[in-house]
Amino acid sequence: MKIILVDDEKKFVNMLAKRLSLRKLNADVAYSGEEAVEKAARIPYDLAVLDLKMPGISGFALKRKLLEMLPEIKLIFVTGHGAIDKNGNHDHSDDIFLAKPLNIDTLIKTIHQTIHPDKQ
Amino acid sequence: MNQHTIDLVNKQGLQFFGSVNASISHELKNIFAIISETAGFLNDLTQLSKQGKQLELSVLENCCNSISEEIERGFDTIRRMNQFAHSVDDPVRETSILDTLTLAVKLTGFLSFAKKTHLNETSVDTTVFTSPFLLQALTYKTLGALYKTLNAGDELTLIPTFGGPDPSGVTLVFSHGQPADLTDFPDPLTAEVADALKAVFKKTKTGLELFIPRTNDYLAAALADRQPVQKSI
Repeated sequence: MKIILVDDEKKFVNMLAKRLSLRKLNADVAYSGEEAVEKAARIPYDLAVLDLKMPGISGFALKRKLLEMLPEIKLIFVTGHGAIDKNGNHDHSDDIFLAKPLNIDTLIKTIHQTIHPDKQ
Repeated sequence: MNQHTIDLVNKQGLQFFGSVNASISHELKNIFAIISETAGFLNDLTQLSKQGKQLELSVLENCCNSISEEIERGFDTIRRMNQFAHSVDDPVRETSILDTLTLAVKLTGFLSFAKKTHLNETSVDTTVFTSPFLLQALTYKTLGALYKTLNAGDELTLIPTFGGPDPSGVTLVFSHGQPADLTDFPDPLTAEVADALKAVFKKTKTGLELFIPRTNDYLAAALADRQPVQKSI
């Protein structure tokens, strides 16, 4: 399973990658939407964990770009905001959101459920 | 306080407070997220150690340093939050320009679309007699609007000019060295705040200038009969 974690909080995303690695889930990291797009052009990721609010390309804009490049990619959004503002946009009604601070077990469970929804 | 000013403070003030509080809480959540993941990682290492894996001291040291840095970042954020909360203590007072700008740069730095801003602090500070809260709101909104016109990686310079050609006020020069699309700036609400402060925007080829009068008799008179608020701690 190829995973990419995208967040401009470098320490957060690096630490998350280390913790996933200890649980046998290897993940690349990108510190911006732009860097994620560059990496996705080279690597066919199965899943992306995206921060919602980032400088430059936002999480929602990155979702659109990644889906254009990798139509099968699954997405999980992570947000530090208390309430998730989907701006009434129903394109996001099926998206998965997790709040910061994350619970690693919840994240891993969500990753597996997202990749293998039929195994629930 | 006349009705117009009350409406302005209520409408703009609540919106501004909400916006700043949202960005501060977002910043704090990011800090807690880093501390939480680092603590979780330390716990992971502890569990591995119990299973016989040797711990690397440098890894533990890096984790401790990271947590310390994030706690300091959190304290700094809370200091700014407290400073911002005190901006409503006095409806009008002598207000430090450099303190106001330093706080505005810091608070707007929490916005996801923020750009790096260099505040020129070489000038001797001066004060203006105005509403500290509305001045904070105006400089915050101006920086926020300019950030939206800039490209990723662009930087902004903010130069307060005291004792310039017009000694009746202070001119704040926001510059980023290239033309910016400020067609929709100031928006109606920002223009309303500027009007209450008798502040004047002037668009330039490389950004904009904001003139703040040293005194504001209209605002002082409007706020004169307002009961003092209980000061926050």
